[in-house]
Amino acid sequence: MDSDLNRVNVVRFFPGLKNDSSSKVTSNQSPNYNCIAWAGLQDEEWWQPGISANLEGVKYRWPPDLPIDNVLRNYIELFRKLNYFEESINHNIEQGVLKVALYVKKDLKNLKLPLLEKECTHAARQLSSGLWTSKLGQFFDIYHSDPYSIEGDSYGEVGIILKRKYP
Amino acid sequence: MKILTSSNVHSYLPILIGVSAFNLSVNNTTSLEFTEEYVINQETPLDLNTGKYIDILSFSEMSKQIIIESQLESYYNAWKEETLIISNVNEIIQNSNFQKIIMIGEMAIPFILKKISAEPSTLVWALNIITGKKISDRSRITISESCNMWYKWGSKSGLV
Repeated sequence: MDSDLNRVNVVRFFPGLKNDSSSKVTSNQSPNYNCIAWAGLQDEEWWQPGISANLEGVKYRWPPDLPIDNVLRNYIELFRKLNYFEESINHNIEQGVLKVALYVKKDLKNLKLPLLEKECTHAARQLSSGLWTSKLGQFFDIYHSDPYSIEGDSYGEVGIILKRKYP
Repeated sequence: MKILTSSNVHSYLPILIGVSAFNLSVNNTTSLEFTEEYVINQETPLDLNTGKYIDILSFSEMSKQIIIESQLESYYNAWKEETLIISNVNEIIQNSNFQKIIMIGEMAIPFILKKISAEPSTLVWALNIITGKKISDRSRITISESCNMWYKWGSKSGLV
């Protein structure tokens, strides 16, 4: 999995990983789940608001009482339902605490918007080792040392880090 | 056998324009010798396997399929590159290259089946949109499972 070829392919999309000595490809490619589900500890579903077509292959889980706009505010609400009630002031590991980072687009349109109204692009989850794990669309799962090493043109920047106690 | 003549050449010429002189192999079963001279001399291409001139209508259909397959391959590769790391379903299916695949309609189905068999992916959603159907009523089914079921359906239906 963590072959040179796979790493080169990942770095092509996330140049910041080139200097991240902890980064690693940790799964084969899979279309079965997306990053939001992966951050929520699921690997057989896509979590997505507002799907316009009748598509199969996955269970599109989105709480029916949540708005379907693809903005940070609604993803924060989604993770609140998973007991991520608090905002974390940093990405450092804390004993007995799970952290999730939510990313927002950084294009011209989104730069002008208030943080909570920016388009949410990605979620990453901290592991008990302190490393972070991300599912990259239909591509691989990876480890990275911190939430910031995958910032860039692909996913924009970290919008917020949420935390909860271990279940 | 239909021969290209001055009266019917216009029916076929648009397919031939822009196609360089080449030898062509289709599914390793048909090898055709086809040069500009055939058009100039109003002749039909020669099947190198059988040594016979082929029916120009078949050739026309075959050329069309090859061109469509080539277009699909190009759209697929661009879609894959542009959406591989995207987690947003709507962004994946609204991608312009995905939309071009859908616009080709039912003729794209065999190509899609082959692709999702070789590499299960969200390209299976193109089948949902083109056919207006799901392959399974099961609520919990992964994309990989649905790709597998679609391919089996395609095999039974003689599409692949």
